[in-house]
Amino acid sequence: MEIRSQKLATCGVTADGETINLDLFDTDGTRISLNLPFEQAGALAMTLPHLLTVAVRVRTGDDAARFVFTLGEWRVECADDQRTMIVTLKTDDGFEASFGMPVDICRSLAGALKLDARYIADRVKQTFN
Amino acid sequence: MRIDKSSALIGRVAASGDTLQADFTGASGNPVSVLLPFDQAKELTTFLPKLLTDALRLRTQNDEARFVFALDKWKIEITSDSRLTVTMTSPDGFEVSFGMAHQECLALARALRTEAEWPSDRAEASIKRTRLPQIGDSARGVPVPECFDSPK
Repeated sequence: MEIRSQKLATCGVTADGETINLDLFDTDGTRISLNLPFEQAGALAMTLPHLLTVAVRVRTGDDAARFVFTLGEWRVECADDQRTMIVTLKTDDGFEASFGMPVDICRSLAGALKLDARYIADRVKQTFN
Repeated sequence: MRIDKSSALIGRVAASGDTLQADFTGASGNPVSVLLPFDQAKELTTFLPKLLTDALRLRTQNDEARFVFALDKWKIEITSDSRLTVTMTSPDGFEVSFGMAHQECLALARALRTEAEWPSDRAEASIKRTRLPQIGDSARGVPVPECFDSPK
């Protein structure tokens, strides 16, 4: 069966958290309810960003193009084990992703971000001077 | 329409790049393909993690439960408009890219550094803004058209 979505309608989670319900209207205007088991919804959530990037590359003809979320807010916290840092990056429209990393990787990432941010800041400064 | 729990999901992109396709197996064994225009796929990508977090909290009966991917690789790129793109990848292939201004990047670097230096002394997370995610408010089966408004 092929379902061509025309419009996403409603969504929800069953009381036991086992199923994600996605309702959509197909191109005939028929409302279809998809009941995705938790595992399948998780697989879809993990697959979609990659598919979006593939689509962006096809649409732009640029193999280096990618789908980029605009950072809205972020949060850094330490996990209960005191050795893992959790970085959560969010967009203003609700997407968020959390990544856990050991402290030493966190330091490396911090160093790289700082370096690149300063490089950009210098470049911007030079542009205006 | 019930989707089978254990079958493999196959994702595809149309040759035009305008439509994304997710191939599932229905609970009765029949193939089910869902075709989403690019913009709808974008909306679903934005919204689905919230639903999953909500589901996870219901499954675990833990209101603080959430998905945390292990960081396998990261990449920082400088774009032509003097912004930075940070891409994070998990070992199981989940990859997401965030674009940010250099000021945000610098602030994030500082927070990471601070937390990494004194993780055991930090009782609370470093929060750039006080607004925390309101996960689950819209995930109870009620109509939530705002969830599917086009991302800005």
